Amino acid sequence: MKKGSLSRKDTDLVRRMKHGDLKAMEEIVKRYSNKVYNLAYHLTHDTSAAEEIMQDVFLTVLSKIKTLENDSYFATWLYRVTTNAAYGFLRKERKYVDQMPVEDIDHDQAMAYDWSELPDDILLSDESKDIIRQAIESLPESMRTIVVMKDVEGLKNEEISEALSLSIPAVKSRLHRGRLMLRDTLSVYFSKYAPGGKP
Amino acid sequence: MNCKRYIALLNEFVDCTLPQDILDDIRDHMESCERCKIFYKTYSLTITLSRKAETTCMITPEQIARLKDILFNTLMPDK
Repeated sequence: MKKGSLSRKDTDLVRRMKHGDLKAMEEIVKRYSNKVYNLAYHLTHDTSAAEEIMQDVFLTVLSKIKTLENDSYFATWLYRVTTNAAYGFLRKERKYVDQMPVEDIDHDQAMAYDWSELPDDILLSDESKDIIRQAIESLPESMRTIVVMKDVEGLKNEEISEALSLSIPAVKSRLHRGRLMLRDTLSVYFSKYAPGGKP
Repeated sequence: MNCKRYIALLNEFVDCTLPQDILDDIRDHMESCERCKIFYKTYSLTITLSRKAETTCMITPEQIARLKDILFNTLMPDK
């Protein structure tokens, strides 16, 4: 979702959608449905919820598109609507886990084992992937959303900042804390491969 | 640079958003501190693994069709 030529075309589509142009709506669906679905899925880990959220998001687009003042912010706005809908689902399902105090993490105690040298068949095994997914899911919501948007979906800090109405420093800080927590979890998991580690 | 400051800046180091003088300080520290060098390697790999562990889903034509139906019925409820 880069700005520039793509964004300019978005602007044209958004302008046409505001006048009820069905073709423009179809093009927006074609362009963004997969992105909305993936973000919703990676935040909820629930395929049914992801589809429901995607439908709600585009219904919101339909009903609120005229309130979007700056058409070039359409993609950012779409991400904001998507994350809000995903939060709503998680709260309803009581999957919402509030922040654990990050100060409790003792980085000095983080293990010094260099698991980055492990072979890919261990690092990318199904079990490892499960551990990573669970670790992401277990992050406090404010960090998880940003880790998913940045490290999974590949958005820029500026896009995340705009979508979540957070300052850039706040985005960076939460991202860093989330990554540190994930690294700690992975260090514990992969330590079983360290010399003398317990399998 | 000490280890605590090094870890605090690792995020921006990985994302290449630091000025050159701080980048040099970080690289110097990494050369002299094996533990921090490992921390950097595992931190970077954590980011890579996060991306690789999460599968990218392609929505199905049926899901697209359902979405379009809903939107079309909302726009034109009488048709």
